[in-house]
Amino acid sequence: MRSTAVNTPTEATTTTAPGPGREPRTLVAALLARAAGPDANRPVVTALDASGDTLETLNPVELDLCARQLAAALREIGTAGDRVIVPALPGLDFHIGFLGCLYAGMIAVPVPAFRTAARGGTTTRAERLSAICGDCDPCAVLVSTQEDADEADAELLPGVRWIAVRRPDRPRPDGAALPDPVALDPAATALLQYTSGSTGDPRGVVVRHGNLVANQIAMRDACEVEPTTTIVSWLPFFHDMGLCTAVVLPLVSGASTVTMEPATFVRDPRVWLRAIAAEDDVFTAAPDFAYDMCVNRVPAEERAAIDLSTWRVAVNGSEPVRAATQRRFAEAFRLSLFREEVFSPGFGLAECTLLVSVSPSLEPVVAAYYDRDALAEGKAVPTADTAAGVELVGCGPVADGIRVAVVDPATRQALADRVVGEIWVDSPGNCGGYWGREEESAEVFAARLAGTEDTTGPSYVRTGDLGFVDGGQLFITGRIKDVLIIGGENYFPQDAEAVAVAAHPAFAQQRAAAWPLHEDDRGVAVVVETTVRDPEVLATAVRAAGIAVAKVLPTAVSVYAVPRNKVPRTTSGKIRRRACAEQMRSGQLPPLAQWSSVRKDGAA
Amino acid sequence: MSVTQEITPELVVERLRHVLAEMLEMAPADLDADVPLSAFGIDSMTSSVLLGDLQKWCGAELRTEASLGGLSLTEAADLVVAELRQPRKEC
Repeated sequence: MRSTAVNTPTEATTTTAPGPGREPRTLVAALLARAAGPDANRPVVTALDASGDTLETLNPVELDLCARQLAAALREIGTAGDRVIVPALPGLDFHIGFLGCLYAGMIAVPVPAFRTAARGGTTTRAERLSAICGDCDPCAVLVSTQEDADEADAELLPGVRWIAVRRPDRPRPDGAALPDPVALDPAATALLQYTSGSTGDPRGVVVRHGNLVANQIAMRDACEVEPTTTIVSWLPFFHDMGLCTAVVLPLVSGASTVTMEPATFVRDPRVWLRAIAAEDDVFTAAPDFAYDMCVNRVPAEERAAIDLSTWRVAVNGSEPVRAATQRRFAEAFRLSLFREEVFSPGFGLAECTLLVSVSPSLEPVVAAYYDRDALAEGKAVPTADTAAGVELVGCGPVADGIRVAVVDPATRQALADRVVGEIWVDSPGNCGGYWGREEESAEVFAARLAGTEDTTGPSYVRTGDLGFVDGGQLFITGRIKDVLIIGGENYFPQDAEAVAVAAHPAFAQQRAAAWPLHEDDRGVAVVVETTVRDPEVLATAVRAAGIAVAKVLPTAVSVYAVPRNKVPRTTSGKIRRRACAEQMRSGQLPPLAQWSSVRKDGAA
Repeated sequence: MSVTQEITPELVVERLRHVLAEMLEMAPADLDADVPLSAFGIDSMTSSVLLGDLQKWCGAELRTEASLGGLSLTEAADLVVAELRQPRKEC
């Protein structure tokens, strides 16, 4: 998989744009069609600054030109199939950088932004970056300007060229054969999406041009994203949901997109909401916590002044979807004319490009209580008794062209509706594997149901997520690796996390991570983030959380309070429970307060 | 156990705390009375030992299918006292 032959066109390709009525087969083909069509002079992408003012707007013709200029520069230092690191650059530089790589036939590797001129001090981010570089062996790293390239610290990434995205002095590269034919080949690799895994163990999902287009056409159709729709996104571009939402979806749907930096949203969520209010028909995607953040940070008296009646689709995905969050948001922003059916909960993962299931545009949210003890035995039994139940949100029906099997991971047999198993996905968005890891790739990306091992029948991506199907809705109950097995029954860490967070005001709306204690040491540990520092309040809070968790999990319980943002997460926002356990065990994550039902020097 | 002494929930909590602390090799003071016993490591086996001890100590005959695991010391004591106050069935 490492050879450059991976990007040799596998079938006849053409450089002409697709005709009317035909779907583009790659992202570059979609941009070419747009630049040659009636919308050539309409903005396709706009970047906002920290206060919500427009920084820059590009139409398809301008975006095409910028991408060509960068592609020509990249082809001077490398060839089709080479990897190029594309950091989450500010403004529209990421869009140009990413598309420039594709035009050059090269493989884009989106990563978080980092300080190129910074010296000394090994940060986690720098370590992760060098681990990614070690894994994919890139020929270049993109920076915004030539000045950035000149100032970049050569020792940061030895042997890698620094290339400026902006090439203002460069002539129009009419002579160059761009885009490269591989940019129009759906089977060629477009990017490596680095996902979870610890710092020393990055895994790059091989996403092909055809995966991007097929997957986001499914999103477009489920959510009715039209050329008149505006996509408003603050998500990081290196994140699968951020890349698909802000770069891929607008190009396959004809919609335009307005972006801002994640830091802008975090500093002031009103900038995102005002950008939504400014457009006529709006699609957004964000993780659950973003909606909580809006409620907490936008004062009630300001909400009425923001008109959210044009917001049609708010995809809620990439972390567990909580019914309470959606209700709370809808209640808080009713004054702003927000309707709860705007929420479209979804489920997806980088290994399938992104989307697997999503609730269609303006369908009422499906949420129901399922008996907790029955879930522990793998059965989804609806219950009216909310105290004995877990409230789960339906993540919509499986999108068009995608098939899901809920499978017993031990026997590989498909399970019936309302039986909990591992979610397996057969989709045109299913990616080509993990870069350079054939063995692991075969296990994850080419799973077959029992009895079909020798056939040419469908092969599935194993998601590692547990869930069930009920009434055509996909419900997610947890991660397979994170399941707590107590007395031979399965419990989900989300349950422990949810009750711990709800147990005391010091933990309200905070994040938590739960994991089983050391194997020979039965029990469960729960870490909860807090902004509180008063030791007496914290002592009460960890005890309250411990008792609450012990009531739902029949085992020894330890609870630790840690400062906000200390629970490690993947780039796609999932809680890294194992990493959290490891940091707690090694003392890297010192707790502010702790409580244990069994006192043994607080060993985690 | 003197028959003249009334069994109060407080007494039962202290008795359970004492027996549990011995079984679990923990200090009695470390057994928080509001924490479900399962969190101390009480499973169905140790629960039946506890139930047997309670019966010998005060005569409370809790139904055998009852496991104490999901209850805290306080809740278990309330259950014992409620059981003792029930009119005896004549056999």
